[in-house]
Amino acid sequence: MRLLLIEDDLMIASFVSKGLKEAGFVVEHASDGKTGLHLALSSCYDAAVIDIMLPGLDGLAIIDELRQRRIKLPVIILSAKRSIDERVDGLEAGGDDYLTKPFSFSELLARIQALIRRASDTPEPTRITVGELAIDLRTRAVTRAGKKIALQPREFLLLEYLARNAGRVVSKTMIMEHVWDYNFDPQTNVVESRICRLRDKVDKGFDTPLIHTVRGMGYVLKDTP
Amino acid sequence: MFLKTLRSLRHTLALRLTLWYAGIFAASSILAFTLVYASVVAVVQERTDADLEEDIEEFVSFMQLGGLERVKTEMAKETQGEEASHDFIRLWAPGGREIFATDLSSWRGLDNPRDVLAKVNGADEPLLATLALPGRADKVRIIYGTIAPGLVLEFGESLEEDEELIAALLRGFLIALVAVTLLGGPIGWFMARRALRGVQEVTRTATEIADGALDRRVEVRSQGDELDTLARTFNTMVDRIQALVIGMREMTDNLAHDLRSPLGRMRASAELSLTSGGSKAEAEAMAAATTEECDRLLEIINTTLDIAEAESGAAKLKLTDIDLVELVHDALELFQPIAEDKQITITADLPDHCRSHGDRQRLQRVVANLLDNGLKYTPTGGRVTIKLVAEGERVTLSIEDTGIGISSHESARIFERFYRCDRSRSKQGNGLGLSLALAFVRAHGGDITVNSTPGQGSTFTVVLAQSRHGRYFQQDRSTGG
Repeated sequence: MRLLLIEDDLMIASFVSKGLKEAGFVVEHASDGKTGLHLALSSCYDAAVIDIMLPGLDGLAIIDELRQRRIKLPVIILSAKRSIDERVDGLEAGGDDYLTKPFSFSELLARIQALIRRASDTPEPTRITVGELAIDLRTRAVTRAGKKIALQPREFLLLEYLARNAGRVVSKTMIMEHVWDYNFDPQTNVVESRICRLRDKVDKGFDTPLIHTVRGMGYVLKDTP
Repeated sequence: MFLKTLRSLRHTLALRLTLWYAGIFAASSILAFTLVYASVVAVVQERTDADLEEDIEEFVSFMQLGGLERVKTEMAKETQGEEASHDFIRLWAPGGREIFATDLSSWRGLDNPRDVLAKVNGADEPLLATLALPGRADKVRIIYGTIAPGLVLEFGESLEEDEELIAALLRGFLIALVAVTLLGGPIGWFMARRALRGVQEVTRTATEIADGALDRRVEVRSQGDELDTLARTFNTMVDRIQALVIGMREMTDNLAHDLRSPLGRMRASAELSLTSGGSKAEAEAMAAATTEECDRLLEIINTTLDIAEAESGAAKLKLTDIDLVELVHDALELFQPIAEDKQITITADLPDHCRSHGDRQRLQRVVANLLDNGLKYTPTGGRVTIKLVAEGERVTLSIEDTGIGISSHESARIFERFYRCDRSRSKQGNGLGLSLALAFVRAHGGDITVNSTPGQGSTFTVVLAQSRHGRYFQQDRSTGG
């Protein structure tokens, strides 16, 4: 998987590149708009991460140029402005995505993967397994080491979301967005209390826990400690 | 220095008003005099002419009584002595033949008025003319009248007295005009200054306020004039500005405090891990704590901006038709585990359907914040009741708790940004939840009210418009101020 990163803040660029390389991507970085556009036009990428505020040519201009040349490169826009430009709303409808700075790397990674999955039309899996845990997405049946686990509908959605991102940390905000369709995290820690209950059902009575808390970041479902 | 003052004076309203005042004063005086002058001249001339016409009539009767000789005698009598230089009389026969004339030594240059005589002879009315003679400073008014068939009497009278009278009038007026103009300046200046004193008062206060004295006000003299209106409007404006400035100062103080605390904690833990050179686990714990603090800071900043956006009307609501029952249901489902952990019973009284026109994400936050608030301040074993009622054109959502309650003096302030009741300081939260809820509901044209008894609980009531009449509250708000 080849990714293009156009970002003029070198510190953010190196932090993102490093993370993406660790996640198995090949990353090419451009620190200004013109170089970025040149790379996007001359080479083939699976996705691009583009900052809006760039020297030379701004992010939206690059995307406009790509769209005019009918290059269907999936793009994630990084913006320091909270009020997302109306044009970005339009881009979002076309399958692209945006993130507001400062962002968490795990969220960026999850969004890149979702974008690539959508763009490549990967068939939906019917079954996800993480170690001993097996989730049947059609029948909504969950088993661990063959033992059936009964979950409430929302608990199932939460586990499914963790399982789809198995091995990756998902933040509370991401969970609120995907499981409850809320774009904010209430002050009372509702996610923590849900995870607590889910843990009771999934990990209780087993030697190795699958649901891990990563302090300051969120939660991760993984087989290894 | 003087020139500079003069130059700056040139631009003042007072000077311009003064000049206008003096100018109009002078112009109206000139106009008044011109009218008086014209009528005086007319009256004087009329009087002279009437005298002359009377003289002719006298001579007509002399002619009838005593014939030509009597006329000659009377002519001489009329012009004897000093009068010779004032009047002259000539008697003409047809064809311009002079029959008799008085002493003409002071009247050199008189012509034979043949043409005039031809016109006058036989006419009923006498003829009048004014003549200037080369040797005399004054003019002469002359009447030609028929005193008997074929006999025309020419009677000339000096206009010297009339001219003196008019000259005296003109002189008197010129003196008056100069006086009026000289006086008009100071009077105009005085009146302009007097009228503008109120404006200066406002200007002086405004200058003081601009220099930072926000508590200064213009004194209202309660005379009900335009300057009072100006002063009152100005004071109202400054009141509003002062309230805004105080509000902003409080908010920035609070914001600074709320930002400074997490920053302080972050800095302290970072410094500690730098100086102590602890283990990897300690460094990781520090990084995790830093991330959490950062998220908290971001949350405060974003929420503050969300509130500001909603309050200023800059927030673009994504209005759709939403099912409030479903929205409340989802929120209840979200908070159910929290309630269970605290053994709080949540009772919901919801209709089958209740739709409203609104921004889904923002209304989600309103309901979640109010529910969060209710659960947070309700002790273990308490009760939270949520009720949704659609009546007429409005939807009422009430969230009642059996919590600690809010005292009446605090209930006025709980919607302020960063305001936290004394009893809420121990609880987590940034003091923005209720402000955000209120700002979002107001952006929808609705309102939130609170009713509370300390120690017994609080009820927060949200009023929104039903979807069919989505504009109801917009109109309500525009008329209700």
